[in-house]
Amino acid sequence: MMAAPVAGQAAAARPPASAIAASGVRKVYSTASGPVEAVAEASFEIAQGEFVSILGPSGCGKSTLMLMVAGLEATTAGAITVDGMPVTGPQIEAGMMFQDPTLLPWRSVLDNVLFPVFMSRTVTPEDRARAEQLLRMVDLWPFRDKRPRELSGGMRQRVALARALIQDPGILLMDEPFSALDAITRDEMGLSLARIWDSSRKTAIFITHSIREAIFLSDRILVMGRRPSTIIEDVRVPFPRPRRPEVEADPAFNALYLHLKASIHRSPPLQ
Amino acid sequence: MTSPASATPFDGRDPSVTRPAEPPRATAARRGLAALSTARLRPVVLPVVTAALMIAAWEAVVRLREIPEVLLPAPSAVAARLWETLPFLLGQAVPTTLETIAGFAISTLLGIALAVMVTASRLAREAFYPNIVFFQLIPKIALAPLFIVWLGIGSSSRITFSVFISFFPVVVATLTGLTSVDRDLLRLCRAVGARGVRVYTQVRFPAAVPHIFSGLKIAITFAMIGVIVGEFITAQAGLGYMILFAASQAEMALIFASIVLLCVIGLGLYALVVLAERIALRRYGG
Repeated sequence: MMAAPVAGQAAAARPPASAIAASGVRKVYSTASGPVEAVAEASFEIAQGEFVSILGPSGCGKSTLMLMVAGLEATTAGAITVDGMPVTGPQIEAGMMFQDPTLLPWRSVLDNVLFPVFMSRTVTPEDRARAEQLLRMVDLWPFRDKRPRELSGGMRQRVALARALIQDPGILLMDEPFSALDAITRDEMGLSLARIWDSSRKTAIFITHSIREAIFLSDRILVMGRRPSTIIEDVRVPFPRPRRPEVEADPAFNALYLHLKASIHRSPPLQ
Repeated sequence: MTSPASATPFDGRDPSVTRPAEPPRATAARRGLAALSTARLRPVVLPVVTAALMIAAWEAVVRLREIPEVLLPAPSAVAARLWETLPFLLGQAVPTTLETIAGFAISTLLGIALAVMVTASRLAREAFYPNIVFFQLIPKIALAPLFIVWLGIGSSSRITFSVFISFFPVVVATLTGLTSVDRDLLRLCRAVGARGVRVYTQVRFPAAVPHIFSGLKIAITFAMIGVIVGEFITAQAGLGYMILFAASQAEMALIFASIVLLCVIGLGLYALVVLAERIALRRYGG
């Protein structure tokens, strides 16, 4: 049922969210100046509907790990499975968000949300209805005919979120989606993502540098270290859903924050 | 108009309710109008006045120093000659213009096709791109006689030569455009299983449009240079030929008149490309 080659077929009988498992995953890039180890060893399991953040310093291989889950990079060793099926190529099942919104500047907001659909098949009225629903969810329906340049950075990233969800993917992969935003917008985006995620409960991998963001959004946090690039910690976040901004005032929040911070800084610095 | 006295002290009330007093309307409007006229007209007036002054200086020097027309005709003499011979010169301009347009059109198609091929296939890139760059290092004008030998003295050799010197800017600009697409966006295309052709039509090509036009603007001027050099060598008809012919007759005013006409045509063709660019950018400029 998983990893169906055509998105339309998969839509028929798909679980609302997928489970991900990685075992002994390793990634070595061969470059002109010799092999570079991006991920030394990563093993983890993510349950259906779990929101997991991968937290770590720059250059620890978080993004590479995400691309391997998406099937956009091959693993050098080890295996990744989604709902028990090995990932061998690009996964139509995954919605993706990146640091930049990566919208088409010459297309309207609505068309940008429909981008994954029209790139792979003909847009149906159902797709349009879903795009409308998603744009309403991210409060951008009144802006559907605008071009991306007419929107603020936060709004563009909300378009990217709606686009990631258009094919109702089993997995949501987000690579530092808010790190190009200013601090205030970033907080707001965190709150909207928490709210939107609560309504769909997709299995999510969220890559971030921000410890607070990771705690606020996640069910679990994987801390990645550098040299060797491995998962050095796997922490469960104890706060109930739905998350409210008040959790930040919880002493447990701060305790977890300090714990994670110490854990990250234990990993050796990048040369 | 905002002075320390007019600033509203923060007293805990909603600060959006009271605002500093606005400056009086009339003065602002008058100041705006004055600023508008100098700011808007200056970029037009200044270069025109500069050019007019330089032409006037040229006229004055020729008249005061009594420079003979076979050496340097006065602008007024050029204008008079242009006016007399305009119907004839326009007839000569037709082949030059048509061949320039043909050369430009072929360069555009060839340049874009080559750039697409080179971005789409790694093999093609490795095989062709260094050679394309190397080709550019050849002083191309030196090759013009070869084209005459191979293709004769008809318009095909001039058009081919024009293409030869004008397609490279199109290749480079298109290549830059096609590869300027965000890596993550291309990843997204792969992730949704988009086919290569669709990635080109929906993503890479529209993204390349602004770049392509920067190449086309260079190509249109190069295309004309190619045709004129061709006309110098083949000596059949056209404004390039007229310049050569007038030089052999020591008809300096006719040379200048032909050059003026070439400038006007060149400017017109360039303006057409800019117009097309404006239209395309409204669609694809983002």
